[in-house]
Amino acid sequence: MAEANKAALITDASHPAAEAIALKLEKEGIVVIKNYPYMPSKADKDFSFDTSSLQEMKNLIDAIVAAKYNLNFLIHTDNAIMRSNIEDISEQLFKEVMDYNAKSAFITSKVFGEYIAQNSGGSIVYLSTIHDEKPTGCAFAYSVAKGAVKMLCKELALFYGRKGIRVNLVEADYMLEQKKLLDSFLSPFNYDAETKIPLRRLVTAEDIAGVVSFLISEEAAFVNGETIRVDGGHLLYYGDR
Amino acid sequence: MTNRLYGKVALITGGGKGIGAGISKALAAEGAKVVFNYNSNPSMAEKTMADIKEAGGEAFTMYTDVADRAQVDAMIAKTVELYGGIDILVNNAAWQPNMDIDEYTEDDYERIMEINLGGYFRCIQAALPYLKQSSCPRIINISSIHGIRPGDFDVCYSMTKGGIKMLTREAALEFAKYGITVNEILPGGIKIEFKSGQTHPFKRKHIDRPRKYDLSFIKPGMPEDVANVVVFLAMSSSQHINGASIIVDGGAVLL
Repeated sequence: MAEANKAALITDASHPAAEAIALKLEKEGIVVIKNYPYMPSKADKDFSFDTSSLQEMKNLIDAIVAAKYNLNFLIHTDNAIMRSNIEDISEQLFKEVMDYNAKSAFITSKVFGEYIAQNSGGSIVYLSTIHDEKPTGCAFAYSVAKGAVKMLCKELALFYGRKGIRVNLVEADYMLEQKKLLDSFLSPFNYDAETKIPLRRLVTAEDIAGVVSFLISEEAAFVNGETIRVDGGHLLYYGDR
Repeated sequence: MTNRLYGKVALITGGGKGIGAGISKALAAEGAKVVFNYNSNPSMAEKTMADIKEAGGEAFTMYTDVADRAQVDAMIAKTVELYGGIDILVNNAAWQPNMDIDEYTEDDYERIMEINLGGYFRCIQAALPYLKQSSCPRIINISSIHGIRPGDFDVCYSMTKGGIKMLTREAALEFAKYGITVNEILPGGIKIEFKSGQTHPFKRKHIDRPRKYDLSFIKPGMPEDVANVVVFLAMSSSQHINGASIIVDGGAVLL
């Protein structure tokens, strides 16, 4: 799939799909750079920089250059789901969720998009969620932030597209690890998901890794500004009332 | 005046100029008591006030920065003090600096998020106790066609509009139990006055190129075109429309 001798940055390697993405890319000969913005890094070669800080991301670029990585791919995986409703969420929590999910996408794209365009070329992939279209009923700030990321992707497909950088987004259904976080008394979407999804199972990390791998590969050379939904057909279900 | 909204109280953010002024005037013309805030242009707000009063409507305007929670709370309190409640909240106030990602500073990003998205969230949350008491409560979010289609002139503006789409859908779901409907309107190009020194974003990027085809059948929209949809959504006859995104662009997105 993707070319060898290239490097990909996973912005939040604690995402439940990150390990599968890393394994998939490494099998294809891509060096994977892991960042852990919300926890200490797991290995000496990993990084732990705040993805929603412009200065921290500039520091990460410096560290990547110092380590002599040839960075080509930005894979934005920051994905913080916090249960909240509009009626009583605090200003602080609203901003935190927005920053975790949307500001991190903006800042990492601003810093690394330009860097990749000026150096060896490559592409950007946002690992997002079906909840940039489907409301959660339990984590509104999360879906608001992901709705913003969806438009960031489309705008940057124009802006960076002219510089040869493709920008795409994966709308993933929730994985088993995320299921409890998205249980809602307002939306029945989550109930019995395995029976509503035509393929009769939840999405796996490997499902997501395959699409991410495709999007950064040469086989997707003319795919730009696109959203690929990886939900087994879940969003086609209508009528659980 | 046709009085289809007689007795209702409407709060319109950024209702003093542009599309917002068209909405303020239309709601007042339908008999609603209108409160709108301004931020950057008090003279246009005064003109909108004068237009409403000349047409026989009732309105009040005040300075409010929707990025500031205390000021939003004060605006809501003033509306309730003047008119006894809130039936219709129209979120409209927005900042559009027309910058690409390489031009945006971190502070610019924070500012546009606090106004365009935070302001909508903040006004909804602050107005909610009063909307819950209304017999026909409505939240109408003015978004943009750039909530679904990139504009290529302001990356963060589009981000905020994409966020408003999901804010609308989440609020529609969450507040259905209160009988509050929440919808968004996505205007395309609307003919509004630009401040002196301000340049149309397409001209700034030199992409207002000569057109090969005659597209004059797509007329530029006017604030009234958006306001008419707001009025419809504010009426009781729209009660089964909830969580919807209504494009008002004359079909331009189809080109």
